Amino acid sequence: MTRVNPLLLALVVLLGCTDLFDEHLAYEYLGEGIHQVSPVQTRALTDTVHVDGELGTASLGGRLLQTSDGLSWQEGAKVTLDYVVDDGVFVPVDDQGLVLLSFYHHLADIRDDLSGRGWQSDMDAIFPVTAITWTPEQLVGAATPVENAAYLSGGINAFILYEDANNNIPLGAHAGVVRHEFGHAWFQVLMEPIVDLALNGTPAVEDLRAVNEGFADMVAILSLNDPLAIPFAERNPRLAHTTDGYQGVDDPYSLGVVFAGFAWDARTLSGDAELTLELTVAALEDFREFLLTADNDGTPQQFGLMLYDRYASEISDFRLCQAWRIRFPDLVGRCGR
Amino acid sequence: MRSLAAALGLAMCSQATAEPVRIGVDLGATAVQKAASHAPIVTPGLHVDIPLRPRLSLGFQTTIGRFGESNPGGDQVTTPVRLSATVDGRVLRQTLGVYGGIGPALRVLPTRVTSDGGAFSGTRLRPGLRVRTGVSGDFGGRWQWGVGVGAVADTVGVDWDSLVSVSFALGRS
Repeated sequence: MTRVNPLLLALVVLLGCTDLFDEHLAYEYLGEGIHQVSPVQTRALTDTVHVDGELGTASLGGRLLQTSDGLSWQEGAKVTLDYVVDDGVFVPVDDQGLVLLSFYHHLADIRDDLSGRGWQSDMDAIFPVTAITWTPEQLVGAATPVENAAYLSGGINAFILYEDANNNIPLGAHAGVVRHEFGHAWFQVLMEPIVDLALNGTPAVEDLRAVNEGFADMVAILSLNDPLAIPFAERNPRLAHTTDGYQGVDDPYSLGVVFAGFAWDARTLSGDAELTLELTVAALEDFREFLLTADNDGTPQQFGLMLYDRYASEISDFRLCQAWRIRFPDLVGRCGR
Repeated sequence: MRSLAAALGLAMCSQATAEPVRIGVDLGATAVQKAASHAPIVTPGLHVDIPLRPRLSLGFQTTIGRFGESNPGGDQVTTPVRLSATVDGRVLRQTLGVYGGIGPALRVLPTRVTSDGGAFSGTRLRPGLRVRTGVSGDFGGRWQWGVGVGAVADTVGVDWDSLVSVSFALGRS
């Protein structure tokens, strides 16, 4: 019979090393803007305590460095989650741990969802990301209290989290927000030549941000098949957002929601969110090719034309034309105009 | 039995130093280490200082606090309790003393998460190392005030704290 050293046993119990788990808590999305903290399967994570796995590694801080080769990312310290285990479920002891695990969970969901739908190579280009980092201080200064998740592009490919002043679901744990930020990462892959041109100082389009924001919203609402996936009421795609009154480059969201609104119109008419997402991605690829061959005179609104053409190729409903006219009253060249 | 003997020994030591045992209450603020940053919480507490010899005492301290998040998705509450024992050196200058000490600490973190998805709970124990320093002075009579700062370090991170305290001498020096 093996005799166990009681001191060693006490130490192991004290440090919680005997805990085994195959699930962890996360904010699970129930639809219609509602989340609920629930146990979810632990996947994509190979080291839950340090939030490390197939998607990337969580870190604290980190720094954006400007070098002669461009921007680079200096990694921050490792995250260590404090936790208890209850009935096989990993329970973080503080809200930041729960946000980090929820962020990772939602990211794994969208990655797996899109990988299974033919976008495996795009997912391979995104993951693992450079960092999933909490509070890089030099970036937080420009943020507002309603933001607490962001995507860092420009060749860095990192997600950023920080505290918000939100009394509702923490934005970094919100399925729609995470998918929106993921949408920016996907946009980066799909539009790489155009983004590169902009980084090199020869932009192919006057401003790409509205298309980027619109695409990110479309990824969120179509992949979750829910128009309430974006938590801000004014970004509900069912509202009558139109390009009428669009003031230009200072507010990419006001045009972005027009694109997202039109995508939701197409989803409503087709009844098929997966098809609408496929057509949306195809439209973005069309827009990329157009910009690469259009002598650098593209405008973000032209993405609306590409969307219409792609949706109309599969959705034979006259209301699509009506919707397009409402959303883009100032564009001509489609629907008999 | 051994611990009782040790306690008696301490009591004898205290008598030998002719300095009284002191008990007191603390009102503190602690920056607790969370997963990604520190969060400030209020930490009331109790302490006992047992003189070992002139200018050296054994201090026991416990504090309690609360942090968490409550939103429509669920509630998460953790009530951290900190226990520490420090050997404190003290330098006296008339009625004002400066002290500093070091010793083991234990953080006990009972946590509970509840939502419509279920209720989950457990208690985490985190042994660590406590250091503290501060100044104290006499109010007059058996009463004494104190102001201090300290930290507890363990495998997860470092908690930083500050406190004001009032203590009472159980005997006369």
